[in-house]
Amino acid sequence: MKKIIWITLIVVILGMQLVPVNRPENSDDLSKDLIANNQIPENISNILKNSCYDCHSNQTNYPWYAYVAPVSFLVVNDVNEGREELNFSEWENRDKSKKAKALDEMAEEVEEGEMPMEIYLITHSNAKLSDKQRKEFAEWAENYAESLFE
Amino acid sequence: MKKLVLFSIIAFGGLIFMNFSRIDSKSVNPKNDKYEVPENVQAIIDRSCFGCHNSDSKNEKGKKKLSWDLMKKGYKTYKVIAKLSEIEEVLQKNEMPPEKFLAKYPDKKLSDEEREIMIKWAQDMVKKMSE
Repeated sequence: MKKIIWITLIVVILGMQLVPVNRPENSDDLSKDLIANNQIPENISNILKNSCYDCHSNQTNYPWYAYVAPVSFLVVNDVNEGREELNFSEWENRDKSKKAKALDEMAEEVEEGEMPMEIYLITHSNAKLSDKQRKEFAEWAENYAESLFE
Repeated sequence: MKKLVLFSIIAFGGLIFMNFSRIDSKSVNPKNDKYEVPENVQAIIDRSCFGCHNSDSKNEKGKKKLSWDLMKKGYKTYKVIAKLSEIEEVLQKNEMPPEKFLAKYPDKKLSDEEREIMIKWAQDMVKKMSE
């Protein structure tokens, strides 16, 4: 009996690998990129690259398990959602008011600890932000947003 | 001689005054003065938004997302513009006022025309304040 359960499980997991996964593609195009086109202090650009860019840019570093179902489904879903909500590779396509809106939300969500997401941090411990980093990031986002209107 | 002393005092006072007004105008971005709410927009805000979205609100989430009283005075320029941009988006998607709230207070629902007025106002204000 136990054997049957195991075999079924293995068959299901193997079968899952055959489900086509539409992994969001990466691109080296930096012509509209936030970091490439603006003077951003190093501590902030490091935070962006280490803790945000995997989901919020077209430069996702896919780990090996991103190629194995069912984890791949989760990764694909989160990257798609992240890029749709805010894509730093397309930053310069935003007008000033949309930049202000994004920066306002970034400051709030990072300071409140809502971003980066818990599930991402489980496997990306170097993306974890200290309270000090969160504060620095929020302050930068607010000042940078205000500087757009000076 | 008296005249000279008097003149010096006035000049000195003037310099101090100018200095103060300079500091004052620097601390608040003059773009904030461009924020205006016409009566018809204010009426919609008062009826359907202000109850949750003010800085004394008991609705913590509503207060945090947007406090209408701080739009006039309190928010920095970028924040006013960010909020206007968000207001436009939320109303385009018909997400506010929330369904649950409207089930209780159906009279606070926005008509299509009222939504249009709010969206147009938010768009115009973003443009005006970004200039």
